[in-house]
Amino acid sequence: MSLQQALEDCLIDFDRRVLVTDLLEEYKLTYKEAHEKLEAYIKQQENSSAVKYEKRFVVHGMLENDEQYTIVQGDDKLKEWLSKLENSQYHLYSVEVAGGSKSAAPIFKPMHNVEVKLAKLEQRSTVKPQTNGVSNGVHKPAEISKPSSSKEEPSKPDNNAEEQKKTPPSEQKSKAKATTAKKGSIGSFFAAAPAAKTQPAKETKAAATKPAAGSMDNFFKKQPKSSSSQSSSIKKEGSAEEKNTSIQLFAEESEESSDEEEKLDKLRRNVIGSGDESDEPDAKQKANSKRRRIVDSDDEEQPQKKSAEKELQKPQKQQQEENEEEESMDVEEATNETFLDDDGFVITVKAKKPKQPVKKKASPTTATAALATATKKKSPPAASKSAKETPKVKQGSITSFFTKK
Amino acid sequence: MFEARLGQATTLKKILDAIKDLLNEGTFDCSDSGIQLQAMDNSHVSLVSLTLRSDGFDKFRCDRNLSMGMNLGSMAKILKCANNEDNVTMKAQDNADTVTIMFESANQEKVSDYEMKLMNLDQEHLGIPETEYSCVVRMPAIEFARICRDLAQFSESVVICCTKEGVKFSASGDVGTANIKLAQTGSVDKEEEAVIIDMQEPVTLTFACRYLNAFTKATPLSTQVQLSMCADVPLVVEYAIKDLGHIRYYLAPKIEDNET
Repeated sequence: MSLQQALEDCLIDFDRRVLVTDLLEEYKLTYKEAHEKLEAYIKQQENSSAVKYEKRFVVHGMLENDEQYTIVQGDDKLKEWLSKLENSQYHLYSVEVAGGSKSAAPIFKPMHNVEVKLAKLEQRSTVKPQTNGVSNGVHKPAEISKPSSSKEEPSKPDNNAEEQKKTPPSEQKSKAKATTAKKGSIGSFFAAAPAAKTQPAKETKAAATKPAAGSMDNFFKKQPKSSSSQSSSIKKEGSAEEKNTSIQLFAEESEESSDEEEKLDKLRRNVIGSGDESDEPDAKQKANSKRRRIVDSDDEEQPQKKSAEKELQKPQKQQQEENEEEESMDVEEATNETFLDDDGFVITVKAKKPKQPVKKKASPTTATAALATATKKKSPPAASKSAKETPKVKQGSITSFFTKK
Repeated sequence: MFEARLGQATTLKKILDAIKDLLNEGTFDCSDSGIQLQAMDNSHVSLVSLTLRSDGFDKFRCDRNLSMGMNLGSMAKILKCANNEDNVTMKAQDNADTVTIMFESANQEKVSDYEMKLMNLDQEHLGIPETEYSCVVRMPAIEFARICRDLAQFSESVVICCTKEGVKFSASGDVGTANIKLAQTGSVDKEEEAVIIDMQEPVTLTFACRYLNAFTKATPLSTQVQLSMCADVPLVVEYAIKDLGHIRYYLAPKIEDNET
């Protein structure tokens, strides 16, 4: 859309201050063209209707050997300044309806579209000026009238995404990095989002943060590896944690354990009631006896830890056998019994429910098998078949049967 | 001037209960022959047609044809204020924007009147053609209500299959399949318990349970319900209102989706 057309269609709101620079940028015109069209329009408007326009001019000249730039309001002031300055020249800067009640646009605003075109210099069509939410009255023309460069914009990310799919991840990273570096504003970042969606999230993260500090860069380089393996090894990590805690609780302290773990360990021991048993030479025996008590106690966590420890120490076959033995032992103990042991612990031996150990020892394979049977039970094959076989029907409308009066 | 008086408010209460679930608003068209209401539900799947004959009222006067658009929920609220044995009188002036509903106790000791604002409703009236139905089933209204309620637990749709042996209501869903067969009764002592099938040719049609259940809200109005079916034609569920008129529900059948 041309400026002339926009003016005729009243798309430019002169209630707010309209900067000539905006018009130049919006309609890709030279100053001369824009100025002429605007002046003609203003004159026509002032003649046809009682509307008065307030103009501002940018004046440039020399004042006492100093270069002066200033913006003056109205023709009177302009003449005054022109007489004041040597080698003076002026250009129309902004126009607005005189006495306009709406808030003005920012007075100073940088130009992004340079009128002087350098040879072999491509325009950056994607970069748009940030107005900080203040409208300057220039309505954006419809998308159809936008220059071809901006039209192609939406298709670009898709191409990018396709390319990224084909290329190996390392190259993708570098490409993504290049694109993010190219686009400066946050607006351009969001525009590129569809392309980023297609690639894995970890890579987007890495690319986005790479221009930041070097230390962060290193961090994010490492991060994707852990995150990629995270999903597959959640279960392993969980079991490892259990193993760690069980080791700290019951086995002798290993050299690998950190300070924090040691603290935790001590805390747990305090809770149990004996502070420095582990330091004693017969610590292992004591720990074993403690384990025995914990098995009998109410605490739900401890049996898990115990079993986890066993997993660590013994091969699976042995473990199964032992589990069976323990199960049989547990079942035998049928009544609750509370007593004070040699170390002064109050021990409550609870009657074991046979279900609990079964739950505890259920291996992943049996669990999945159980799940499978459960799902089978939920939907009998015959029922699902019959549901599938029933023909699909749609509800008719009463208006299709009766005619309107 | 329009004035219609009914001996028992309970009849009007039942009528409102029978239609207010399907229709939010409706236009009562009053003429010297009586009161008629015709309206589709919001989804345009079913149509309600109510006819109250003028001779069924204790007193009926309608000088000019009058259309009274009413919010049926509001009217039901007003009717709840009446005792079942009260006389009820509806009054409206020509071109009035309100209707007055008056309740009088049997001994005239208590008289209460309620004024309700009328609405300008832009509702379409449909021309219902005279149709020869292949199957007409008359059965106890309570039985039909029970069947609809029971089958709604199995599926959203009910298949009604009418043959010379009887009428079969079926529903099939995730839970399983349900079939209820009703055979024509030979001889019954009570007429209201009879199942009578008048069949020209067998028909099998599928209907939405939801609407059938909404229709059964009219069960208190009548002991018997009449189901009229014909292939590719809406089902008619008719409840007679003794000495006053009838309420007919038309329900578009579900049709096989050939696209899928």
